[in-house]
Amino acid sequence: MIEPGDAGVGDEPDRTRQVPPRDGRVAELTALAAASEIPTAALCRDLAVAHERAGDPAGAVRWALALTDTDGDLGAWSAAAGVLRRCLPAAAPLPRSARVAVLGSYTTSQFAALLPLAAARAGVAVEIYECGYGQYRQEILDPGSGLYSFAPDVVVLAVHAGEAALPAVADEPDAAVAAEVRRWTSLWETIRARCGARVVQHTFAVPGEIALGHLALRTGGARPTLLARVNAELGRAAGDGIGLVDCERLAADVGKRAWFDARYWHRSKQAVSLAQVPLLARHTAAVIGAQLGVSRKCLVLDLDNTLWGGVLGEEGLAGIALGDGAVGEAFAAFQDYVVELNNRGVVLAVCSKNNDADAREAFERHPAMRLRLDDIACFSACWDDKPTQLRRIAAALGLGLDSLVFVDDNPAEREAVRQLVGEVDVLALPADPHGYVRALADYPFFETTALTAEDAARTATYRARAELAAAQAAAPSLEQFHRGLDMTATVVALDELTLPRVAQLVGKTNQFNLTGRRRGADEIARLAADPATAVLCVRLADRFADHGLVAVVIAVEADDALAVDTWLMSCRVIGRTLEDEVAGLILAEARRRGLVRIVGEYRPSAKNALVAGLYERLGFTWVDAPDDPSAPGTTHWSRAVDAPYATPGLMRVVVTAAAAGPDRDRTDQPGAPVEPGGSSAELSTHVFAQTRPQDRRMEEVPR
Amino acid sequence: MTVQDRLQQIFREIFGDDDLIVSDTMTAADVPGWDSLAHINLIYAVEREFSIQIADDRLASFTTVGDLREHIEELSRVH
Repeated sequence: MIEPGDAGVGDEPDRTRQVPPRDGRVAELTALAAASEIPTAALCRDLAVAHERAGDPAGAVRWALALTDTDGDLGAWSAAAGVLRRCLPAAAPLPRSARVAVLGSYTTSQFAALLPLAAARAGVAVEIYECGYGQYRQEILDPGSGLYSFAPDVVVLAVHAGEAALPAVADEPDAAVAAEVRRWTSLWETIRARCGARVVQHTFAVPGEIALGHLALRTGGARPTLLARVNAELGRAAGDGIGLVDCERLAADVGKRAWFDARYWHRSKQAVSLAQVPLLARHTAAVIGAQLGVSRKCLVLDLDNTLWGGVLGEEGLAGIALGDGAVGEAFAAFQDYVVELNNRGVVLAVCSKNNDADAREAFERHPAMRLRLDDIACFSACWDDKPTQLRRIAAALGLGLDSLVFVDDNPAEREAVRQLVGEVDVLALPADPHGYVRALADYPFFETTALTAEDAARTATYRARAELAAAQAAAPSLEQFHRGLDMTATVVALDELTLPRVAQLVGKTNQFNLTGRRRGADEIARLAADPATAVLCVRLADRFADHGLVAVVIAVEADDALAVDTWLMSCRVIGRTLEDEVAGLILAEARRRGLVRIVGEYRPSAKNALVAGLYERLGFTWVDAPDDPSAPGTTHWSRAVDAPYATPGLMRVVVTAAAAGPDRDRTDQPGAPVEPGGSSAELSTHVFAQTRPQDRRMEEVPR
Repeated sequence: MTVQDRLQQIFREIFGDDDLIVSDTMTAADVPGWDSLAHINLIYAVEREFSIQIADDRLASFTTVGDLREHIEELSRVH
C-alpha cells in the first residue's frame, strides 16, 4: 500500500515520547506494506508506531484503524489502541464523539480498552468509563453513582449468560422468561430516564455445555431454551435508543468453544475468551455507530467477476457465469445476499468499466440475474476511472463519500479507490467467489437502528414467508408441502443463453437420465436445427429458490411417433413431480405435430435405476421384442397421445412465447394463472436460424 | 526470532511501550502497569504466541522474566 501523506515527516518533535523520530523506519515499512494488498496486523501495528514516532499522528491513526480490519489478536489491538489514544487528539476529528460507559458483569477491562479503537473505525471518538467488576446494577440504580456523574451518551451493558437469573430447569418457563426480560428492560428504562443515554446491550451467548443434551430443546423450562427466549424477547422489547449486540450469533459463528475459555473464566473471570474480545469490540462499535447515525449507507458494486463470472465485454451475455454450475451459483448466491442487504435498506449502486448498454442488457436479459435495474439507485458503467465514478455516484445520490462501501474483485481498482478516495470503505473480496457472501457478511458497518418506513413494506414479504414456513411445519402430506412451495415450471427456448447449461446437464446428469446419451453443445444445436427434432428445456422455481434450467428432453419424429431420445433432470429437483409435467409437455408436443404416440426408451446405467420404472408409472406400455444383445436391459415404451393423461397439478406450467414460437399467442389456461412480468419471452433470440419457429413451439398443457 | 525476542514483542504490545527491553532479571516492579490485569493479558499472549498452556500452579511462581522464559522453553521442548 502506498502512502500519499508521508512527505515532510519528522519536522515536528514527538510530543508523547522522548524518542527521536525515525522516518527511515516509516519508509522501510511502507515499502513492505506495498508488497501486499492487505498488510498483516503486525505490519499495521509497526506502521502505526513508526508514524507516531515520526510525528505523523494522522498516519498513525490511519494504520491503527487499518489493523482492526485484519485478523489482529489482543496484543496487536492493545498496541494499536495505545497509539490511537495518544494520536487521535492531534489527528483530524472523527465524524462523531461520544462518552461511553461500559457496565460489565465480568472482567471487561480488555473490552473497555479496545472499544475506543473499534469505535474510531466506526467513525466515533469515544471516552470510556468503566464500572467496577460486576457493579453494573448498583451503578444504574444509585442516582449518585459514578455512571451518572460521567454523564454518558451511550451505556454498554456487557453482560454474560451467567448473569441471567434463570434456574437449570424452570417450573414455569413463561414466568421465568418474562421476569428475566423485565429485569433488563427496567434497567434500560432507568438509564434512559436518569441520563437519556442510549443503551447497547450484549445478548446472552448460550453456553455450549448443556447437561440436558438434546433433551434441552424438548424441555421448555431448560436454561438454554430460556436464554434463547430471553434474547428474542429482549430484541422485541428494544425500542428507540436501545441497541443489541447479538452475542449469541457471534459466539455461534466463531464457535462456542472459541467464544468461552474456562481457564480464563476461572483465572480472571473473562466470560468472553480474550481471543474474541476484538470481535466483540468491533461489533459493539458498529451498533454504537448505528445508534449515533454513522453507518455506511450505500454498497457500490463492480460487475465483471463481482456480480457474475467472466468479462461481459469479452465473453458476451451467454458467456458469463451466473446461475448454473458451481461458479455460477456462487455469483447468484452473492447477488441473493446483496438483494437481502437492499431489502434491509442498504442503497445499491453499480460502478463498472463497461459499455452502459451492455451492462444494462445483462440486468434486463440474463435469466439468472437476481438484481434488477430497479434495485440499483445509481448505475454507473463507463470507461472513467473508478474514483471519478465513485465521486459522481456519491453526488448523484446526495451521500457523502464516507457513506459508500466499494466492492470489487480487482485488487488494482480497490487500491486506486483506497488511495484516491480514502473516505470510501473498500471491501476486499477473496479470489474465490464462493467466499464473497462471507466477506460481505463479515463487514459490520451497515448496521442500522431500525428498518425504515420504506422497508416496512418489504417486511410483508418476510411475513408471507414466515406464514409459509408455519404452513409447512403443519403440512400433513407431501402433496400439501409441494403445493405450499408455489412451484413454477417454465419452458424456455433453446438459444445461446440456455445451450451451455443444456449441454452441461446432458454431459453430467446420471441419476434421472433415461438413456444416458452424452452430446456436446454443437451436436445438440445441430439436432435442434432439424425440424423433426423437438428440444424441451424446463426451468423450475419455487418460493425459496430459482433452481434454474433443470430438465431437458430431446425427441425426434419417427413415422407416426415422437421418440424420446434423451430425457434427463437435475438431481436437485427429483421428487417434486416435475417429471409428470414434463411428460405432459412431451405429449402436447406430439399432439401439436399431429403424431399419434410417444415412444420412450430406458437404457440402464450404473446410476439410473431411479427411473427404470418411470414410463410404466406414467402409463406407458412395454412394447419390446426380446432383449437387444447390443444393449442388454434396454426397454421401449409406448403411449397413445389421445389417451387421457393427468399430472398431479402441484405446480404452474408456463411456456414462454419464445419457446412456444413467436407467431403464437401465449394462452394461459384457466385455473393455472401465469405470472405477469417475469416472462423471459423477450430474452430469447433464436440463434439457430435454420429452425422454423413453428416447429419448435410448445403449447400449454391442459390438465 | 529467539524466545527472548518474541517475549519482548509481547511485552511491548501489552505494555504499549515500543522501547521496552526485557531482561531475565526484570520483575513486575520494574515495568509500569504490570498489574494483575496486565499479567493475565501477558500470560494469554504468551500462551497464544508459543502455542502452550501454562498450568495454574505455575502462574504465581514467576518472579522474574527469566523464570517465565525458562518455563516457555521447557514447555516448548516437551511439545
